[in-house]
Amino acid sequence: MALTPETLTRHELNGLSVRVVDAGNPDLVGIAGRVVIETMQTLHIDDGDRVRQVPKRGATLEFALTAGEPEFTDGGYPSPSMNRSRTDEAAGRRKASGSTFKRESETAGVLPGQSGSTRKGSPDGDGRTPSRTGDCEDVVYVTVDGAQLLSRPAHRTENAGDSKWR
Amino acid sequence: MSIAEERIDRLHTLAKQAVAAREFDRSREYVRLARRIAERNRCGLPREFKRFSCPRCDVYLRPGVNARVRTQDGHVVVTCDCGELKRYPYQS
Repeated sequence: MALTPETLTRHELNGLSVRVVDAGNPDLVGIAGRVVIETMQTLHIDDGDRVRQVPKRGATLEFALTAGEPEFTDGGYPSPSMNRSRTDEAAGRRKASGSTFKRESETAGVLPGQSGSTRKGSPDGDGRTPSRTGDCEDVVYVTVDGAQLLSRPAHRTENAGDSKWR
Repeated sequence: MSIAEERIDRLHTLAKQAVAAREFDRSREYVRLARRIAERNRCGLPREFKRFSCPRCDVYLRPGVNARVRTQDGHVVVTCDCGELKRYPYQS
């Protein structure tokens, strides 16, 4: 069971790139970075500058999944200084994700409507919207309603996601 | 490979990287989460994870950063900065 858009809500969130599309607190909208710590009700997101704590409840999160292993090159860690130094080393991959970040902000104009629609239709829809961008075929953006992630991190594998007993 | 095992795998990598970046408390969080997942899903931890995480302070052990590795008669001793010893045997 690899990390796919379907299994994301039950999989490990630490280390994934995420962007806050919508949140109850307007100051939190637009935070982008790596998830460093997950708690039952919040995510700590390292945005390169400092670690921000975002409540899951009421937030809409957009995770960026890279096709291969998501930038788990050894020695690279999402701390700001290391990140910058690593940009030179692993040029290919980091450059690709850099361009996708630009793309991410481009699609941001499109996505609020999308995320709004998922939130409106959340009773029947599962709230996950895998959107595949045209050029960067190796990055998949998954929009998740934060309320789906409300669970103790170690229990989420069992609790979240679709029930087999439908 | 189940999701639990994959999560442990990812946490292993993250804990390693966190120690490399001198974020020891963050690596403790990852190690504790991985142990909790392993016990809930009854899948155990990889051997390398068991040998290179401190049983007392839960930090991931990275030789040269926060661990000392010495061989003694028939076993390897990994010493954490907190003073805890972790031993495992080797065949000579």
